[in-house]
Amino acid sequence: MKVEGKAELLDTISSSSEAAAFSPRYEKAIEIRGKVDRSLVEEISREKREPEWMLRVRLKALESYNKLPAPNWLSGVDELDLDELIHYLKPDAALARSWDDIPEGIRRVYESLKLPEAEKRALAGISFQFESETVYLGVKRMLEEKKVIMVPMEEAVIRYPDMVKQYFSKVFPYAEHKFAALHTALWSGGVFVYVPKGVRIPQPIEAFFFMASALEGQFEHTLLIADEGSELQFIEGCSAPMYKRYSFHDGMVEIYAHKGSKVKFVTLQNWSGNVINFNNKRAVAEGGAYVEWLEGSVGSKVTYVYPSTILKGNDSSTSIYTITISNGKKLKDTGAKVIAIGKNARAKLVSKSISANGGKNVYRGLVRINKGAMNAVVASSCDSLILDGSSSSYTYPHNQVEEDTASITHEARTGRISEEQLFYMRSRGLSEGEAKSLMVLGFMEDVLIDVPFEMASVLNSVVQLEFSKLGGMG
Amino acid sequence: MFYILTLQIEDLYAEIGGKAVLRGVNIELKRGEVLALMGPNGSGKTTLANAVAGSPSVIVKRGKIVVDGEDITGLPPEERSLHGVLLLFQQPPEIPGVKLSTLMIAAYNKRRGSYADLLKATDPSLFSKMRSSLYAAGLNEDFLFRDLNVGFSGGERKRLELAQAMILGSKYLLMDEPDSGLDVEGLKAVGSFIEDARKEGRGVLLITHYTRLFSAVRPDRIAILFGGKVVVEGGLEVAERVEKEGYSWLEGLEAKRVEG
Amino acid sequence: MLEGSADIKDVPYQRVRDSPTLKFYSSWEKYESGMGEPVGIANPIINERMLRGAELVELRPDGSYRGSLEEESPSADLFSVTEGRILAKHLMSLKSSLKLKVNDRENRRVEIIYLAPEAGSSHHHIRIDVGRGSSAEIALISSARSSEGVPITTMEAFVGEGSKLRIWRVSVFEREGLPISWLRVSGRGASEVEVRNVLLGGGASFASDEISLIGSKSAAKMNSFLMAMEGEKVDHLTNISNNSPGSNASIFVNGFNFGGVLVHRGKLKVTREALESENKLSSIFYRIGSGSKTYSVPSLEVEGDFAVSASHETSVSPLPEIVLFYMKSRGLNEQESLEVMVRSSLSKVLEGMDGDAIEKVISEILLRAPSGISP
Repeated sequence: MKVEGKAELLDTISSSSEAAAFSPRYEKAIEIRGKVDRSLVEEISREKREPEWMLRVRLKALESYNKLPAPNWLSGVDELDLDELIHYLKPDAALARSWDDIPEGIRRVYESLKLPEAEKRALAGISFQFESETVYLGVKRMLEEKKVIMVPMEEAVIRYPDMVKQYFSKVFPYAEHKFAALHTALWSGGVFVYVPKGVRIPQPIEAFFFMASALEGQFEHTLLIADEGSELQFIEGCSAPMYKRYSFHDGMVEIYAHKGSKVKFVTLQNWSGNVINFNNKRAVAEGGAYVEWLEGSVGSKVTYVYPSTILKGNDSSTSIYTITISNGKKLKDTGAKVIAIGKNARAKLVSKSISANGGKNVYRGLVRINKGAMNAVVASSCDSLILDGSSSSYTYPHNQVEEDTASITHEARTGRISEEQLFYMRSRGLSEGEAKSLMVLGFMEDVLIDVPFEMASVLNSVVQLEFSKLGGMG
Repeated sequence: MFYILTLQIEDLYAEIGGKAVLRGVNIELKRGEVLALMGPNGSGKTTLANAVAGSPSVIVKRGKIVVDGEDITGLPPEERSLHGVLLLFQQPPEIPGVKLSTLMIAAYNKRRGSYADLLKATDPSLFSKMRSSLYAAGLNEDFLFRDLNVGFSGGERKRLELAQAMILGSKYLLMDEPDSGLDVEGLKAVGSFIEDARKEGRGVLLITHYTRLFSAVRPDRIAILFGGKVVVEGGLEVAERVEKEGYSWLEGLEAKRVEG
Repeated sequence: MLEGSADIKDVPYQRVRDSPTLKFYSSWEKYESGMGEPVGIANPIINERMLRGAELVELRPDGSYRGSLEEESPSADLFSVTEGRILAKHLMSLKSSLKLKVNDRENRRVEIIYLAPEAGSSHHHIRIDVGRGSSAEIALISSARSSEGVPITTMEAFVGEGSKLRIWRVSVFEREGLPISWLRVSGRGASEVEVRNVLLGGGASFASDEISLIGSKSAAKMNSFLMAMEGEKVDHLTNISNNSPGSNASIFVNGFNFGGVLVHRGKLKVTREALESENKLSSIFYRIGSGSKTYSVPSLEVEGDFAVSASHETSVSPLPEIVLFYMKSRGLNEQESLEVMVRSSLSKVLEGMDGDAIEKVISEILLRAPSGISP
């Protein structure tokens, strides 16, 4: 008897025996060609006038990088040529020379978002003249008065070596995977923040406008230390579209939240469609500390980011909110990781993803409750909206519970916009794109509420643009 | 150029799911007129309303739809709406995540040509208009901030359609069974709304299966859709006959006008 | 012998690791070290007939069969030696395949009893062809007391248009047992495929069920009951690949962990062909007592906006206070409450089977469950 449907079944079969729970099937795999030379790392360290110990960290990371296999759960749309990347390590390579370098579609978007000229130029990567803008001087002064340290990472290595040594690459060790190792070997730029005991900063610090140049790098490393009882909200990136000249980004954020501190880290990324974006993000929460990650990803061609929190101390908690939009042939491979070690850990994970026009969204979650993490409670939800026939959504939540008294719940829903709903909205005068954008905003609402007001309205406009007239970014 | 303000449906043939439902419908609806459309279940009343509003599931094979002299037959639904045709759905769908206020602000802004910021509520009077419309439709003002139709009863959905019609003044209204699921109070609200609409000079195509609505509002004319065509048009006596005999007397009837 | 790659030791256990923290959810090494020439026949735990009036087939540890089904030379359409080392070793060890053919418009009921070896491994492969407009009910019963053997089965079924296939797998082992069972079903238009599992114990018992639906208006339903005591592990996989318009795919798993290891991975894959389909996975795991480890990985892969619904939910928790309280308020103590929950879950899975046999399984379970629930 001829067996039809064998191909489909074998598809399920081989993907399941490939431990499909953690690997979707894509057409091509990333190939990391080219070696990163020891001499390049030494040159970087020399240019930054780094102390010996930092050079040693870089070299050890380089060793790891060369030894570690390429992560076999990754596939990209293109092959990554590392030799090409080196070209972009020089400091000013990230700057475009003039407006003419910026793709037209992106320029049009800036017009319609009605941003002030200086912002437009910064976003376009044409200039970094921001630090001197008067608007931000007031905030800078306040931070100085409270003895908050916020300096470029390179400066911190030289001025505060003991503090940096204590935490750098300890929250997210370079040996964990190949891209973390690559990052640690080549890191450049990024921000170092230290908030002293008991200091509470009430308003969100929009780091982009302070440290634009520091955050422009490909391998920027941000290290944020919140001492006991302190509070800080840090906003990285901007939801307005940003043009990047380089095509590969491998950044890292390490957060250490000491006892009773509260850290909220917000990233909204809307990079141009030529970027393959890796981001290694991890936080450690000590007793009674709270870490919140809000990760919004609209742009870039491919993004891999899994904000993680290790709930080390008793009564520590975390919330991880992710919004991912893949409008156009993009791949967003995002998720959240929580590892509960201390007692009474609490975690809330909410993920909202939207894919349209051939976009692909992948959610990878890891909730791990170690034995001894008594009374841990974790609730996670993952909703996806697929807007058309060519787009897709994949969800892989891993729940590993080794503690008897813990409770974990997880739910995921993948939905669509029906013809009837669209017609209803159009019969009130909205175009199809406008109707879709309203529904997308409604879909994201529970997470949008958490976005700082300053960013929410820009994100709102960006979403409307993405889904109505102008369409996606180039 | 001089033309009479009407909604003309000319010789309309339409299909749903490959099946022919409308076979040459002719209707003329004048501004300031209430035309009731009756007919047995499956006769195509909802299909007709959906065809006029531009539903993508209805395929128009032949014929024209003309609003105030402009042919809207090929236009997408949003443009028909902006041309002044508003459909009140028979079964309004749930729209999770979208509040009534959001949709109304967007629709209102579209009608005023403010495309740039669709969601910005610039007109303060809009909110009071929304509240008073909800109130007139018999709904609490909380409905403004609830997700559209999510968890609403049939009656509540119908009242919400009514409120929307009050908020978005349109030249022509296609009301698809506005009375289903409503109690006596609701019926009165529908009736008084239609009366106001007539006075304001709006044209109302009132689709209904039962005659009880006519106790709340007297239509100017009553037409019956049967076998995909309008076969009878007249006054209240048409309704009386349907009340007494049902629709069986229409079998094999040629399209003709019964003067009343 | 099945053709395959010459060097089995070059085939990895799996091609990709399972998670960043745990390399493999399955105990491949344990199975491999237990494999070898089969020795003896272990005493079964279930001796009652579970499907009354069904044809009886017996699978013996040495690879031989007793019963009315045809034997033919080994061939497997839905399994490949390249998938993983343990499967490859199994396929290469097959001496024959057992064939069950259900003709058009025929109804058949078959009870297959799998006798495990006391040590070493045994290998069987069953192929089921269900014609059109027919129905088949098949129960695969395997149980053993104090057996360290590795009894392995692969089963593939092809269901014709308009037909119904219901498969029960009842696997009851003690702490040493290492049973492995793979099931793959390919369903054609308007067919209904149901797979029901009762998986109790074993040092590491592996049961993988995969259904692929093609053609319109098909239905796939999976319902599993899992239980592990201290020192035991149940490793269950339930995947449905839905390519059928107007179809319904649902997976329901209920697990009771009394200090052992429970692993469940379930994937719903909804492709572009599955227009207007409804898909749902729900898995609930209760932990009673102490020392349990539970791993739940429900996955969803949805292509395009064609399905009406695609969702999953899972929870891992102690017995919910409110449920216990409700039952206590009706006069039951904790042990009795647990019994009520276990019974109602099991009865849904075993519905259609012989009443006495169901009772036997339930009493076996209750014998194992420790008295008292609180740790």
